[in-house]
Amino acid sequence: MTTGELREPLTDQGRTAGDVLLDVSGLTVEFERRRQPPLRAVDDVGFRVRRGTVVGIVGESGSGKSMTANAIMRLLPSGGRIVSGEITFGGTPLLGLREEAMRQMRGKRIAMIFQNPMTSLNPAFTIGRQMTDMMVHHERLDRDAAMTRARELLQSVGIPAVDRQLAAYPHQLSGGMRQRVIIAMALSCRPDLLIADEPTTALDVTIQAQILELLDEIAADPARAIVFISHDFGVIARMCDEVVVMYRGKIVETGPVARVLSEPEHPYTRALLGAIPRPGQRGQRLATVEDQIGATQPLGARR
Amino acid sequence: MLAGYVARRLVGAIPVLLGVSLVVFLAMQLVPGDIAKALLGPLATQETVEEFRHYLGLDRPLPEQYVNWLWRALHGDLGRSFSSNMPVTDLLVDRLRNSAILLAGSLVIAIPLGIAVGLISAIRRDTPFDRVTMGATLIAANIPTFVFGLGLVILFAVQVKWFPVQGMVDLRGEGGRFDLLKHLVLPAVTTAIPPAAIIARMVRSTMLETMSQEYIKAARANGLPERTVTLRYALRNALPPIVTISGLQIGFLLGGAVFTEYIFAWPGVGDALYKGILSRDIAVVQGAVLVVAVWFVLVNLAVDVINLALDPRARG
Ligand SMILES: Nc1ncnc2c1ncn2[C@@H]1O[C@H](COP(=O)(O)OP(=O)(O)O)[C@@H](O)[C@H]1O
Ligand SMILES: [Mg+2]
Repeated sequence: MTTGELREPLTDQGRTAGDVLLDVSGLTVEFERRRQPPLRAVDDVGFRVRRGTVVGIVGESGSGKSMTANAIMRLLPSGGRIVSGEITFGGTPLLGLREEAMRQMRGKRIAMIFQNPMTSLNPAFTIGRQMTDMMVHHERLDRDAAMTRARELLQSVGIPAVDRQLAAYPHQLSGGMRQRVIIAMALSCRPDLLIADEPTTALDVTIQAQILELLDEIAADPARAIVFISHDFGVIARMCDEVVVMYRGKIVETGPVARVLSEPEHPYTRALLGAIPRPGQRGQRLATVEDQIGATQPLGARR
Repeated sequence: MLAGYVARRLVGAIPVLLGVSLVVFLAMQLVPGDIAKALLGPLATQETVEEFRHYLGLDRPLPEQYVNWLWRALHGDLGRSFSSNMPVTDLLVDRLRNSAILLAGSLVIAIPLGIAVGLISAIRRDTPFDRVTMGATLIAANIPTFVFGLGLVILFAVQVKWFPVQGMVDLRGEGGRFDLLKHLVLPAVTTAIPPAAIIARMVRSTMLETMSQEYIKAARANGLPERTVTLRYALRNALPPIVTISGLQIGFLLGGAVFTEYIFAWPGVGDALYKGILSRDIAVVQGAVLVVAVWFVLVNLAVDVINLALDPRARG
């Protein structure tokens, strides 16, 4: 393992950016409310995601990160509505698609993984069944072929005893294993874009580091892009090339991760950076971020 | 593992049934007045009454009466009906068969109807269909049987004469399945509507609850078709409470069809119970209540076994 040894996340994640895969502009999402003007959860949000890169969305809880992601998937909770904006994915304007065409995008071209691995797998079906359902549907594979691919996928995300896991129900797996399964599922139809909404927030520190490492490997594919959502600047710094800082539904700052970390322009960004726990309480801001990155690595002594 | 569970549950049901039998037995002791006297009528002499009490075993101490009654009940002897002079067991077997026909008829309506209406309401939440059906189910779940049953009779038996007013068979006709079916429709609908409404409401609420779960959101994000998401991913997880509530309704239906059986002169267990109470036919009442209680225990057991089979956690 690469424990402790820092790469240079502050300047460059070492990735090469390709063409623009996702282009969001002027995105505004509102929720209807009774006897009140609608609640604006996402307000005029715009950013671009190039192939081969990881773009982070960071902000405190309730700042509109998830609703931005859900809007891209066109899966807003009931009452929520995209009131304006454009979302272009691989040249296709998503907001103009018919529902059926959009559904074909989900899972196949754009995959999403959610925060809580304990609740995002169907408790009544085996892992194998859930993984193959998706491939049978999108890739028109038969069950056997899908099962073979599921086996390979689970191996590729570092799951041991693959056949046993395929026959297992979600409750029989640990949180870390489930998140690996969910990631494997998200990759099963080889999507171009992966949206990860707080994928490690519900996991404990050791497991979190392992999952981040896995996502890092996935990000190495130059054809793919990842939108990585987190409220934790430390994790963003570890994972992303560019970052979008959100506050109350608006983007307050955006730019390459290293630049935003070293010279945050907006006071909110500075406050967010200040909120990173500093184990050693060293003087410099950069050092605190490094500490945080250190803390996300496996800590043999801690557990 | 399932077999072991069933065995354990069956053993566990024994104290419940003993308790029920004791309550049934004691409740009949609370009936005011002397039963022997009541049965023999006002002209009987004191001597005859005493003799009859002795014949019935009513002069024995209560615990002894109970043990004797229970012992005979365990051997299939529930005593004799005073009013018809038939062995209660024979009478109840007949009644049970008739009740089973009515029960089957109403289940065939109640369960599919309840599930279908509940599902559609959940999927079309807050649409006019949902609002209207939920209003209707609220009324249907609480409507008194005789109001609804008599309403059906007036409409479909008296006004348009599609179905017979009463009974299980047409005494002047040739009988047969079709005749029975024709007689079955109105009572079956009458008994089916309240449970169907209750099941529909339960299906709707558990489906809405399930559809708000994150794995449903995830299934949608994976691009699974809406039909797969609702009918396979969501419904499968909503099943246990639906099985439970349906089981409860099935449990109630046997004894709860009293009014329906009365209105439609359907000679089932409920009708026997009702008439038994009116004529103080103790043995019939005891037997009928016991049958209803055993049925309830069995249905409950079936519900628990099905839910256990549905729960992947139980498979270890
Ligand atoms: N289902 C919903 N109904 C109404 N408002 C919602 C709903 N979900 C989120 N919101 C509102 O949208 C805003 C942004 O939420 P969200 O995107 O989930 O925040 P984040 O993911 O950054 O924590 C919140 O202020 C919240 O009040
Ligand atoms: Mg969120």
